[in-house]
Amino acid sequence: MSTVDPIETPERRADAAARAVEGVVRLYSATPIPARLARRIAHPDEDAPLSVVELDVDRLSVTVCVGVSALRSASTTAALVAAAVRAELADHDRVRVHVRVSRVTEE
Amino acid sequence: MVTLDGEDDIGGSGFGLDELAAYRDRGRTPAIPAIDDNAECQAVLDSLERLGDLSRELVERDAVSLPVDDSWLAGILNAIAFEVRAGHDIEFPVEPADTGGDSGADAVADAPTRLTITEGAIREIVRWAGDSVPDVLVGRVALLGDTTDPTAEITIEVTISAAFPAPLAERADAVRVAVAGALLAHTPLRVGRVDVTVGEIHLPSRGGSV
Repeated sequence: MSTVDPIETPERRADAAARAVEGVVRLYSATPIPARLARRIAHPDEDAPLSVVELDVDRLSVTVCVGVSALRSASTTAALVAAAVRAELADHDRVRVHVRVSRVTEE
Repeated sequence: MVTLDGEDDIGGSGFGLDELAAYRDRGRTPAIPAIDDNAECQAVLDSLERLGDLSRELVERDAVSLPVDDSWLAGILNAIAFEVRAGHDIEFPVEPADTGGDSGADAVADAPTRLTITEGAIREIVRWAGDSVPDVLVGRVALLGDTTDPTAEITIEVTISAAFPAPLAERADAVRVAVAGALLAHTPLRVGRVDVTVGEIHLPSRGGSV
């Protein structure tokens, strides 16, 4: 069940859904480096979302970068994140989710 | 003075190793989102913490005089800065339903769900698995082989420092087992071999390394 305000942006909804998954230690920025730098210059004080959501023809394309706990299987946690993000954005007909495990830590 | 010739800009954060070390020294405050939200920066910071902890532990427990000279420390730090780079995305296997039964690279990349792990994350796993072995510090990590081919066997090369008088063969075996186990648990890699080289031995009391 969604715990996020539906008027929030898809990026922030994806962030919140991913953070809520057990085994996710933290989220990292999924924004490509040039775009990240440009955004930081343009909006230095902004608390930017970490996931990236793009409208790709007729579907949303979501990329989430996560750090996961070594106490659980990284692939299992990644699959749970994908399912959580997909459920959170279920109001969109077609959603493509890419979960990138950027770190596996002993936390 | 430690000379660092590694990556000047870790993970596109705009911060280099010196600045990350300073950020760590002041307790990671005030918070800098460009560092805190960057996986590569966080990997470097955690590696710095672990390196400091393990060095202190060795010195306190065995009265080993670690060769904390410029070149040894700089070598490890530069290796860490190099290894944390994200590199390729390596695919976890996906359910056939997610690719319409097609296992080709295009189908996998275009699947509704795509799960990957970065090469940098894998090198970090190797490093902390090796560092978990008593009396051992990992110096360098290399992945040899085509990590983008799920059918290819990968060789892992790990160079370690070990504290005398730890039995070197046992420690090397323990590193091999720890690394292989961690990679099996957390990555889709088919690990063929884990080659461990003892690059340095830290001697007690006399100090220095050989």
